[in-house]
Amino acid sequence: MLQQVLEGTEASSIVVIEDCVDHDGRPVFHCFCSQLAKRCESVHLFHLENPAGVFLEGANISKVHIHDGFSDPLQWEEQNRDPSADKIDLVSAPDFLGHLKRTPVKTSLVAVVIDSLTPFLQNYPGYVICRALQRLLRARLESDGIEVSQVVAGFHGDLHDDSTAAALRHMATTWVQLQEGAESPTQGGTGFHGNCEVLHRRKSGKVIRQAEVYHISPQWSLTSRVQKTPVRPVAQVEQEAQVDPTANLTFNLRLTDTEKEARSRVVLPYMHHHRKKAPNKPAANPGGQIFYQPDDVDDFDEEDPDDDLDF
Amino acid sequence: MFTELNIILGFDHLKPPKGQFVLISDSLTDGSFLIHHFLSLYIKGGWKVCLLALAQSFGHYNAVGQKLGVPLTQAREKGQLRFIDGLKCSLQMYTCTPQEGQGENPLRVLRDKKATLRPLYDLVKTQVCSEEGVLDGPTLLLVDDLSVLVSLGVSAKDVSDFMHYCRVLMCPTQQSQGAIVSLVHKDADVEDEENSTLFRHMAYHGTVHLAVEGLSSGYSRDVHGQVTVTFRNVQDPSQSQTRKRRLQYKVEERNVSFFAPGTSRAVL
Repeated sequence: MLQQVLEGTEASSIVVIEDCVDHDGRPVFHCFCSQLAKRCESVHLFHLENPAGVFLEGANISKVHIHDGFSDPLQWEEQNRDPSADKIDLVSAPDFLGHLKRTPVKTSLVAVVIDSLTPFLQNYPGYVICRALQRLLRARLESDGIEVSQVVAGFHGDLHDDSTAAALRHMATTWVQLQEGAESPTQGGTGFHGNCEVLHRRKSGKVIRQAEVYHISPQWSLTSRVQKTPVRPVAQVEQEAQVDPTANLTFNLRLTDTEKEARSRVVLPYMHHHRKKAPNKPAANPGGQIFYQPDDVDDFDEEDPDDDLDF
Repeated sequence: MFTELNIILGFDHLKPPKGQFVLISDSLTDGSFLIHHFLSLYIKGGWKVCLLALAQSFGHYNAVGQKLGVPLTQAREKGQLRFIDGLKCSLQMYTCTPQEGQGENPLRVLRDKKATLRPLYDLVKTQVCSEEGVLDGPTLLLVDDLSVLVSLGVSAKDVSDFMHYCRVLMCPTQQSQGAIVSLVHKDADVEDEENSTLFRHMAYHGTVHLAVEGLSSGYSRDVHGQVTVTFRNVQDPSQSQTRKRRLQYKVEERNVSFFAPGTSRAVL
């Protein structure tokens, strides 16, 4: 599934790659950057945590527009500010679409790559980021002059709380959660590999959740396959383990056929039997019978107290 | 000189590597011996060093430096070592009266909730950069340590923004002229959310992470603890997959010896 989303055979408007300290998402991100640069007309890279060069190795740089949020996100470097360069600043609310509209070359279908959402989420609440991402996806060629085919965003799962993660997960059409890397290297020997869990929502409404193994080659191409759980012959082991308890005893616990038949005919106490009725026991009828013996002090009135009700 | 550690890290002691962000974390033990190691390594390598000291005074670093064979007073006089006395600044912030005002104290954030660590960053920048505002040759920024700022009340976000700017200044890429070494405490028995968040932020920035902790089996006279080295170098997919190494160490009078687990001299 991850490979299909990467190559575009599975359509996905927002892909979020969730990583943590132990399982770095940068190699997967890099693969997305180079693949999107191949199949989209233009890619807008918003980089805030790493310099742009980290993701552009091996990619077609002419198609990539870089929006720099790395060198001066909080505007502490007053004197070096170049007003012509399009820099992201975290002082004002995030406006991805605004940055896209400001680029001189306007192509129709663009892909947006954001590394990562964490600096935005540190400065603004989750819903502001979600709104900005929604505005990106709702951009239309006629009104805004630009249309976004795919958004790929990085998200550090261990730096944010569950509610933010849940909000983003609700928005994302594909959520890739990176997990423990594979224990032994693949036959190729080189490259990154690891496990991930992919949650993909199709437009038809079908939700696919798969555990996958991915491998990244030195040329930054990613292949993935569904992780198959090993099939163990569990049923056979259980059958072999069944031991006959009546064997190897000094006394006889087995029954002959006549004894088995007699056992099935034994009448158990306190069970209701229709063949034999004790005279004292009342007959089991569905209506139920009430026997009322009034005491001396009881004032038994034959009148119906509900007679005067008039509905 | 911690030669075994240098070999494991791939650091040449004659030419310390550029563009590295080394994060040292310690848990239930004192990892500051690694701070002294990197300080002496880079000074002997001829680098300019800016030491932002928040945990100890200059005298402490000088005393340990003399044991390791690095005279820090001379380096400071020559200008090779720039010392920012964070201890004194933080004390001044707490003891100054409102009439005196905070003035030019870089740690204004300790009293003024609306401030950030930007003044501290500006101070670091003046110490490491030339007039043009770029790095003046290979320079190391050594921060000892970041958890002090968190425990003094600075939010993890402010500290992480400060370290982001330091990283952009010193070592944004692996080909940069500068390097950063910083220490964060990560005690396993203390539930400190701010500190853990800060550690995770730093871990994402770092290229090498050295986690110092005691032995899980308890105190031992011959092995004082273990160091787990994690390389977070994700530039090159053709690199080998062994990105984690574990070493045990013993702190001695003038040296720290590192060895593979189980090969302590007391055992062999």
